[in-house]
Amino acid sequence: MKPTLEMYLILSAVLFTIGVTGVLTRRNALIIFMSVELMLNAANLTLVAYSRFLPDISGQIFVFFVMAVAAAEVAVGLAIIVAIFRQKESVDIDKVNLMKW
Amino acid sequence: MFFNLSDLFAIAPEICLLVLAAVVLKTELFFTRKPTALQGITMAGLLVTMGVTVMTASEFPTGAFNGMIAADGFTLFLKVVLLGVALLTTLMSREYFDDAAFRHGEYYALLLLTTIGMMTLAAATDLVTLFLGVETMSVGLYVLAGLRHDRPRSSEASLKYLLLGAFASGFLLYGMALLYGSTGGKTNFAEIAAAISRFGDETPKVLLAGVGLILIGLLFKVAAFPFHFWSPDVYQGSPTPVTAFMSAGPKAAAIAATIRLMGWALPDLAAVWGPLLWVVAALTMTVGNIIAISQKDIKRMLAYSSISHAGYLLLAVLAAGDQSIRDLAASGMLFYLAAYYLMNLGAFAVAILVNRARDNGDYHLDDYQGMAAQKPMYALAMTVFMISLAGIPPTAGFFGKLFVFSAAIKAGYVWLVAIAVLNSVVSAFYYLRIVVLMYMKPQTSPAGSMRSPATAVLIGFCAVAIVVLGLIPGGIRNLANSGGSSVAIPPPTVAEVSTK
Repeated sequence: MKPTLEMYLILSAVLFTIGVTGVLTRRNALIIFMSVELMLNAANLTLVAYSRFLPDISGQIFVFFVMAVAAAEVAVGLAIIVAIFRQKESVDIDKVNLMKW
Repeated sequence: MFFNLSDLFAIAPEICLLVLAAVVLKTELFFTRKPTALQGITMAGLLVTMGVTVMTASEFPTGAFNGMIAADGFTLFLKVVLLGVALLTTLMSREYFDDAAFRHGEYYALLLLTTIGMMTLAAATDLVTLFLGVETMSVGLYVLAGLRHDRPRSSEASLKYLLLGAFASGFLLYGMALLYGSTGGKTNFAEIAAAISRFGDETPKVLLAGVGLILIGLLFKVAAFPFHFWSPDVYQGSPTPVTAFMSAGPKAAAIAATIRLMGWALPDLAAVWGPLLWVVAALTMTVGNIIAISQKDIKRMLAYSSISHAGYLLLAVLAAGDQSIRDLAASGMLFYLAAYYLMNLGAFAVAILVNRARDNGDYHLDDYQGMAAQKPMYALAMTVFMISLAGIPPTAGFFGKLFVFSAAIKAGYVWLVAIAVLNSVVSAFYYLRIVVLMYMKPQTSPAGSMRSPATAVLIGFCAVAIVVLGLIPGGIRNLANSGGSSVAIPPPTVAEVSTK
């Protein structure tokens, strides 16, 4: 069976939903961050799938930019999580609660 | 060639800022770590960049890099405003950070790099540049929010901003991917608009989903209800100059990108996103104002006030959905942003001084009691800022609201404008409460010195500018008008290369 555009789109939608669910339900900052990356990669998959089936090359170029941006975001994000860990000895976001309303 | 060398002139301001950021970093590393020197270099560089921006502006009315960015009057106005935000933030920063053992160079460099992101966002006419602008801006802001890593609140603000910001970026990007696919492989705004108008009444559902997801991402960046939860915490926890910067610059850039995308690339879908934004705008200003009333911390109060201002600005985006009004809406928004950054930065600068004088770490509203007796000039300036934020004449804030609201009325949003005016009345309550505290309450405890020449200059400049703009708004209004009527979404100039 040859994979169709619909299959790729369904796969990426499922990945995106898993990512969103992960962000909303998990309490560990690292896992949340991983889930965000999953969302970005679901979007990348959508872009590449459309790019392959349309066909149009600009979607794949877009993905390069997204990957570069995601790498920068990970570098900054992990540094911030390390800074939090140094202060609290934990990356549980329920313990990050100095400010409310 | 997909771009000419001359396209580089269109991004000359960004190049200047990039060089400046590198110079500041290297200066700190190799030559001097004196904060005054670094601040001076940054400010001189920003002034030069402003000059370069204005000088290279008229040469490119039709965009650059094959339709990736616009170089129109709208972008020019915003770039000058954003550089102004960076300049004033630099001016108020040194003395604040002098209290801490702090690397000034990397702070200024980050500020400049974030400004590049904001300028890209304001100029973006392609999904790729839009995404790059949002992310360059956001990644810089995540770091800036957490700069005081000796303070738990700063790190907490940074983590919250990072996780929620990246979450929103995911929505934005997924929306862009769906929009890209359902328009048949278009990322340029002009081509997207053309593709959508070809659909006629049969807009694919995937495309609508894409637009909705992009809206979520952008509304998060402007801190509109119900995506505003991050902003009070981040504003309170961040170092105060960074908070001032955040409340003025990124909000302006994000709302500008939103109005360009919605009003110029997606006007044919206004019937779909219009009602959605109507509800969001009404709730944003109402929720922002009502929660602001109960705040005891001035940074949180200003955070909720900036949420409600995002609601007023969304009126301009709504009005831009009407093709005959959109120029007026864009120019009203430009004037509003020019006024907003002056009054907001001014208010934050006063907050920094009051906090320094108290030296107790928090920003409680009671610190303002009896300030008029001890510091009449600062109290007067703060009064100007508060009156302007509330939108009472004769101040710039009044005319900002007037221009945006009148555009919205012309577009037929009478009820929404009525809600907005009611909200302005409610907001006057908490803004004027500070004035009452300053002038009519006795001083509770003696404050320390508030001496700070640079910040005093900034406060004076902002206050005078607000009053001058409020008395004779004509000049800036004309500039905003020519900016608003020049909004462009340049199509690609080079024929597409076929991949078949």
